[in-house]
Amino acid sequence: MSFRGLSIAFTGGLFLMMVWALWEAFGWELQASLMAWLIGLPTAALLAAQLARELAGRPEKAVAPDEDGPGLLDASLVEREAEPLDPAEERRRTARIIAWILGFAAAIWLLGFQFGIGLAALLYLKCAGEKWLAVIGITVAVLAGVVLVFDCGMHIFFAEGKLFTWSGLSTSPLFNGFCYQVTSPFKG
Amino acid sequence: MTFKRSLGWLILLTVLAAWIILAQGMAGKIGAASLEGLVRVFSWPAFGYLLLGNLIGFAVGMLPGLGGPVTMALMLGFAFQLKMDAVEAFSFLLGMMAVTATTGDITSILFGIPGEGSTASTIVEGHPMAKKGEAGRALGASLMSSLMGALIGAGAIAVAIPIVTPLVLALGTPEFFMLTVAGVTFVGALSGGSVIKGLAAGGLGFIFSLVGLDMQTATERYTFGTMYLWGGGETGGAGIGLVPATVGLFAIPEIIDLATKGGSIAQAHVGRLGGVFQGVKDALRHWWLVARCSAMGTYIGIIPGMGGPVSQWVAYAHAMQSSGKQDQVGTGVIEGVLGPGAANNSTLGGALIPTIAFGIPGNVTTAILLGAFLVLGLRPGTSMLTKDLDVTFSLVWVLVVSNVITVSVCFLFLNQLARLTRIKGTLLIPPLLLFIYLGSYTHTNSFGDIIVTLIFGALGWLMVVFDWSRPALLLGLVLGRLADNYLWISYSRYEFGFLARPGVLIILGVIVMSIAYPLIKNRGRGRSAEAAP
Repeated sequence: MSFRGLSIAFTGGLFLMMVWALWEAFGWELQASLMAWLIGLPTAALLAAQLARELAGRPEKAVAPDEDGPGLLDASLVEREAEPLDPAEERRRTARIIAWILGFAAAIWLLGFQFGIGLAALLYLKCAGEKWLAVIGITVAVLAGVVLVFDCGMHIFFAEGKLFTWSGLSTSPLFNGFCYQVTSPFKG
Repeated sequence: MTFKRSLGWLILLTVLAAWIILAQGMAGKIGAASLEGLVRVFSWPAFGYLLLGNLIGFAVGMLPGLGGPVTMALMLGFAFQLKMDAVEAFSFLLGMMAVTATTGDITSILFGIPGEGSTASTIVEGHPMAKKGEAGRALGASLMSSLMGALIGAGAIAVAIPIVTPLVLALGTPEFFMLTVAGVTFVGALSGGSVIKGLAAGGLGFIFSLVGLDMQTATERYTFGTMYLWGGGETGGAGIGLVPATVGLFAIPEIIDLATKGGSIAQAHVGRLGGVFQGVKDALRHWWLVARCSAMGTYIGIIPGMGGPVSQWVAYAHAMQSSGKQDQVGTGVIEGVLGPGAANNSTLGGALIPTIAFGIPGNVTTAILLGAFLVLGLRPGTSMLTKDLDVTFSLVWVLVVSNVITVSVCFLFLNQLARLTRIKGTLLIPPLLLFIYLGSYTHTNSFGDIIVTLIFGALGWLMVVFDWSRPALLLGLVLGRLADNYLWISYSRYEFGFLARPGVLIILGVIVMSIAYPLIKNRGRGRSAEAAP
């Protein structure tokens, strides 16, 4: 699909989402739905107008990025001044990093923060071709940050990894609340 | 002297005269309380707690997603466990909060990821400067303007004590509702890409803010029957937490960009930070802009529910418009660093004013602090303005001392901080992903927070690709729940008659102008382009 087609699909998706949001608000009491109607209706109209513009193939009327730089107030549009990438390579890299972002989340869900993030960091760095020294150094730093700062220092409660719950290992201090369980005998 | 500057001086002198008239009966008491407050802050162990708070705030400010409010909530219990008295507790808690915006700006400039929700706007001009090899100058300007902003914000508390009441009471709920709409409209209309897209993004943000259980009617709004989306987070019951959504919208696309483009964050060579003092000079040279943006930050901080996330963008828009460099947006305009830097630091001072005077917290941070007031036996209002005035002034001194210390430390280590931009992107991604997931996870300690981050990350990335305004969406999300409350109160009192109130009409006029201005400007530009040979 072309970039224009994808853009139309995105705008169309937002428009459909807004229509659904208004539809949902039908059944609510006035107090709960007033804001949804008051803001939702003009927003749906704006999205419809935008969709119509894109379908008609009309160019953006406002400041074009190549004319005035990136959009005001949107940091995302700040382009890096690197050499332009081959589009296919850019797509490959984008897909790879999205997979890694999801992979880190999956690792945290399955193994918990302490182990999931450490393992994912190690695999990511090795797959990125880093040297073992950097791989181990960063992984240890990441793990130390989780355990020493956030677990021991700030007492953030980390949910246990699903794999440990399913396998029955979750009661082990190694796998759950490491800092708390190690230090609790000394607290009396 | 220009007309604008003359007008500024006139306003300043008028405020000063009004203050002198109102404060003349309190002068002796204010002086004594101020001195007592200063002595108490520098006494031991209060000063030690202040340094500890500064240290934690320094780190928290730099960590993307792990926001000040979350940390403050976590540290609240710690303060009580150590049985601190009021000044010690505030030295610790407020000392921590006072510096997060300052160090948050550092992360925004160096990494293009907002260290704090209130420092997102610094990215727009600050990060391009880092990429051009001007990290030192951007940091110098940001730190200096932060310090000036914090001092002005702290001073505002002292100045406002005698005159704050009529300032806040002049506005009613309908005006507050319109102000929230105005905030989103300003950002949406100034989104550059397209006014329609900007406004629609703001509207979407408002709708996202409705997700959750409506506390008044027990209506489940867009929850898909999921308990997680019932809410109860820091956005006052909203189902979508501000922290996971902000981290997703801003940090995930930046990570994708970093990994896709490869290399280090700084594409150009990061020069020696001789530019730091140029940044400091920039801040001093543009002192009037810094003062104006600090005043904006302070005033926005006073308005309940607004605060750093709003004031930074308003200040940014003002700084860019007044600089006359709107055509260089996102290229590293120094005014765009100075404005938000000053505003997000002065906001805390402003937010403390209604908290102390009326017990109405100006933002999430001061809401948590209000809880600390009550637990420590302090009663906002008359008590804190009379009997406990020394404690109130200790808050002012904590803001001042914390910022002086932090900015001094930052200047000492700027070379090391700026070198961070030259670290290879691949080495940064695991720690950044840790902070992203950990930061969002601390919202409710649930995996749902991570899912929200991923969803908003995907949305944010698509918005980047298709040129939609993420700040407008975020601002709608921040202000939506508040606007919902204001709207209902206004409607139940006046029905739609609230729209005819003079204050509302004035704000409405400003909104219409803010939408019309870019359209007229573009039309004029189009005509001149057509007329060109």
